[in-house]
Amino acid sequence: MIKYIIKRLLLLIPVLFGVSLIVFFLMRVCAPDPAPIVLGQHATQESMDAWREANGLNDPVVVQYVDFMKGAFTGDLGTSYYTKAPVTQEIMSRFPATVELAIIAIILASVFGIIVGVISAVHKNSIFDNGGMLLSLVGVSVPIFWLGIMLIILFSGTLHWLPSTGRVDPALRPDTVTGFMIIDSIISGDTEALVDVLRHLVLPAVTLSLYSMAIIARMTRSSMLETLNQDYIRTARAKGVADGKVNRRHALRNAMLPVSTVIGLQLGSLLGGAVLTESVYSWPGIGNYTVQCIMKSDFPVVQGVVLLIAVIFVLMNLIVDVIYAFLDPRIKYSGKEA
Amino acid sequence: MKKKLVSALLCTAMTAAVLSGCGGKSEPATDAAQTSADAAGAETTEAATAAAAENLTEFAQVPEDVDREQTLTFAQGADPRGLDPALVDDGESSKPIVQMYEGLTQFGDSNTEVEPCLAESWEISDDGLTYTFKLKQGVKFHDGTDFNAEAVKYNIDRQTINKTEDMLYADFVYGDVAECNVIDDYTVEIKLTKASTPFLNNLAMSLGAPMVSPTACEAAGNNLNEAPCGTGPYKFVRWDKNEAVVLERFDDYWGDKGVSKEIVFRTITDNSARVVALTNGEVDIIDGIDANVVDQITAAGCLLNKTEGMNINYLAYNTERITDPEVRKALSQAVNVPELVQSLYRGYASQATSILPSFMPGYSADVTQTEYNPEEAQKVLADKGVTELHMLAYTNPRPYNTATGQTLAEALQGYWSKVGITCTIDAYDWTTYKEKIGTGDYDVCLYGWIGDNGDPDNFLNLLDSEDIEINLAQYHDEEYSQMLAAAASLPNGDERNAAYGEMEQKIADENVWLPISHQENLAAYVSNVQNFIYHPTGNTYLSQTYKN
Amino acid sequence: MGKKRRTEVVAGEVIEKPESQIRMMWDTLKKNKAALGGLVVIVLLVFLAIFGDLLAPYDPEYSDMAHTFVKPCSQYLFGTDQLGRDIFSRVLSGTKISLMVGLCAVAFSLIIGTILGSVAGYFGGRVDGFIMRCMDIMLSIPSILLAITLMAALGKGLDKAIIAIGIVSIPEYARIVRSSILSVKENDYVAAAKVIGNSDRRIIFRHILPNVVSSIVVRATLGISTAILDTAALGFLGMGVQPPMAEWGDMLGRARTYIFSAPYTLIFPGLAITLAVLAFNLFGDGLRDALDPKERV
Repeated sequence: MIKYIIKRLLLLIPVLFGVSLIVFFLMRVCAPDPAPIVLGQHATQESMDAWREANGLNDPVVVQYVDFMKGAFTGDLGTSYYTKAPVTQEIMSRFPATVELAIIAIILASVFGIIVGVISAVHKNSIFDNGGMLLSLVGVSVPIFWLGIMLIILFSGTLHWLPSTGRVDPALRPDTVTGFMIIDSIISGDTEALVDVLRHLVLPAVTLSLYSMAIIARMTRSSMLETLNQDYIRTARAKGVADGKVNRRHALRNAMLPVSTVIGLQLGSLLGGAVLTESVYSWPGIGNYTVQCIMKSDFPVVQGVVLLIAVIFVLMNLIVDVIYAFLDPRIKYSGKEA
Repeated sequence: MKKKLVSALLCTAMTAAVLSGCGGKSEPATDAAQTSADAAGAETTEAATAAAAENLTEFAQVPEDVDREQTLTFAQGADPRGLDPALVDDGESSKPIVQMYEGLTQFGDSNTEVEPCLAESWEISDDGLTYTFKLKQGVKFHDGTDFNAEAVKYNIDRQTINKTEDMLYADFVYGDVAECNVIDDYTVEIKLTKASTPFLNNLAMSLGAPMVSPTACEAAGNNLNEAPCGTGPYKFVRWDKNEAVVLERFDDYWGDKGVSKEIVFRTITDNSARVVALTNGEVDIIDGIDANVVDQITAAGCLLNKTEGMNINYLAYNTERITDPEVRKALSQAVNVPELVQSLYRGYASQATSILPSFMPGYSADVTQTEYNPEEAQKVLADKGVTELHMLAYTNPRPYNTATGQTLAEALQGYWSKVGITCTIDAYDWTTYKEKIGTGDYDVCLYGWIGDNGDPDNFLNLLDSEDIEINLAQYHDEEYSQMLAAAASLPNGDERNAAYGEMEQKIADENVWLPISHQENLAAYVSNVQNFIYHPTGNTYLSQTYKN
Repeated sequence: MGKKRRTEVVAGEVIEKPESQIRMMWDTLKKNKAALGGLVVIVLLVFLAIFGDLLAPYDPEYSDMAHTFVKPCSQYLFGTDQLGRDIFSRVLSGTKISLMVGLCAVAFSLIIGTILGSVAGYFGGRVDGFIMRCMDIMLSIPSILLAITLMAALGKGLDKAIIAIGIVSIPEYARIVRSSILSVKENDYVAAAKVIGNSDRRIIFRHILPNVVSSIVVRATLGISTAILDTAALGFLGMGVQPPMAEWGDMLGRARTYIFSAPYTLIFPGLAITLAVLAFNLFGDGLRDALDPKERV
């Protein structure tokens, strides 16, 4: 097992290497020259040349790439062209907002997805099943940003129940300790702030979770149905174990295995969905920021963010596989085909 | 005025209906006109009720029993560029800045008349070249540094002899300053190179002119963008980028202390989200209001503050790209400005017939702009072989263009497509947009200006700047420069006003700009906000504003 | 399924005749009402995409500043937008754009993905390792983020959107084709074909690919819905088409400001996206059930 994990971690290296190569190529070779954009009004040919020289953009692309990778290994991702702040600092100041949103969203998606899936499977072909599955089909079909706008119209604009932008009322903002507003407001013991933080989270989290919720519900249903057809379930029923107990003790537990994989994978893809959700709700996270940086050709930041997201994504996959192996002893890893 | 517009619209629509009657599709036109007219009518009444609510001309006395622990939240449409008054040029930066800094002079509560501020009094020599200021004593900066003659000299030197390229307002405010001398601890003498009528007005401006703490400025490496320090009633607490700037009452303030304990400037870029935040009570005051949401604001019980705006919303032709004035003229002829202004701003902006708004000195009703004439435009453009245009636009709403730059851009694109021009639009958020302008890579671009000091020079010198971010048309004309310099040194009066009229006509004849509209300043606030004034310069001085 | 399979034996190879496959598919599909519903909507969308411009009452790009924000009425079914353009005509015109981008993007990724997947699966070894590592790399960047980055590098425009959206889904097809080929490769008839001296290319195209067509078709149908969503997302972020072109996502992004004053400017384009995506999802699900019942999710 340890050997397998190490092998997988080693495989991470070429993947990250490739990701950095792709992003580097796209941003440095294809995207517009940042010098006139960054220097703006007073950009003379000399000042632009000087700036390119200072930022190493006059070196051959290969040299630039090597320099970048050297820095990346020591945790130095360069500095933003615009704010002049280190990229790591720029990312870390926004990253907790996105992670907080994604975690709340995945919790919502898992809880409701599994509930809908189980009900649909247990009452197969009932009105619950058809309704639940239709809903989950709509869930994967509706554009996430449109859903967000519709929710704002309903809950912010018409009913005035929930706020539609930001993470917290700036006046109530707790002191930053972890960057996770929920935790920070608990640390500061400020209930009012905590309530406000949660209220701000509701709409973005629901919006972001719907797609994953639908996927999880569908997965749970089919996995549940398959398990319910297994011999040992029939045996249990034949032995006279109550339906509810069979469903809970035997079927659900075994059906959860593939579902847990899907949940893990969804957490990675939520980071992608966050780009759109954050834009709709002006959420001060990494997704919204990345889009802005891409439009401004702020190479160092874009590289840093994409690399970070790729690391998380790949690690999530690894963790899912490892957990899967622990849960299901039938799976043996030779390490050949992961 | 509004009634006129409505009936004008009706007439146009009906004429259109009659004309198109032979074509067969007469019904929709009439119908639609009716709808538009109804909508406009409804807005007129709404606006009237809202405007009747309160429109102060000067700040009232704050009652004793007011809650002095409150937080006042103001939401605006973009993040400030920075908080150093010498280094920024946008209204979003200016709003927090005026709470934290002060200049030697200041404007009246709701006009641009000059009043003493950090300077108690002043004398002007007969030749208009030497100004001697007596400074207020016992004033401290937020960091404890004393405000005195040395501090004034430091500030003026910073933007004159020590000027760096990124000081965007230095030339506006101090361009005519020859030298600044300390006479004693609380007396300074400023010598000008030439007599300048707007100089005292300039010293009251919210950008460039405010005094910064010399110690803080040295400590921050000559850049206070992230560590502002002035003498104003509020001091800086923190700036959460793209979220909010938080200010706190400065308890050692020399004048009337601020009422609210904290003032928060929130950044909510989305127009509609900002309105939602107001109607949900998340924020107390907003600006940058699109005419389309006025109903929603008043329906939620919030109040609308509507004042004439000292601004201009325009399209600039890049005269270094489109060098032929005939082409510029034809492009201007293609745009039906009255129709455009009515449908985008719904009566909350007036069509610009000149660069200067009508209430400003120097305004002339006689300036004639290029008239709408699509047939001739099409002919000229075809003759000249112009088929493509590249336009830069901003995506945000701006105080002078509440409908957002992109919408305005697409409307113009629509007009041009009717005369055979394909216009490609590149639109960016405001901050990026400013950077893109710097590249000079555009044929036409959208921009606007909010007057700083109530002097006509402040508008018309835009076309004489060497800075592309200010002179977006890249208009460099020797004759114009001379006219401008001559007018600036004339004393206020008819002769000076006439000089500006002539300059306006020159710009109109050469079609350097296409003036579009003057936006009314629209701000909205929850009904318990008291003592709120939207200054014609687009600023809001919030220290005496409170909620009860 | 009860139906007798018509098979043909030629030189030891067993090939299911395409007609019989389609026949079976159709039989199963007919019973699935939801999938049929999806198919009906798809046919309708295709019809609108082809003849939409003839049906549209107005030029979708014509701006009439005298008639902005007209509420939905008999003259303007969906109302007019901030520039006085007829939203109904724009939604119709958007059908063409969305379907075109969807189909072209899927075709793009399908062709490249199939080639890469076949090569990887058939040859195995280092070639396989290299190609699949590349696919892993692409999969480790969230697709929408990769698409945005691509758009930033390529610039605005319909053709670029097709390429960007096409590229990001290449790995999916490559993976499917590869794994299908791996499972088919060991079959006797492939070995037999090899023994009698068929070339690699012939084996892949003639003997292997026809057997994985069904999974590819299912994936491609579902892929169209993803491509439509991605197009809309790019448009919404202002990175899609150049104005004044009527693209659903772009319409939404531009109308965001008016969510309260003129919600109809937002509701109809959004409904159009949802309907189109839903139709392809329903049909794709039905196809999967009909083609390979084992793969049900």
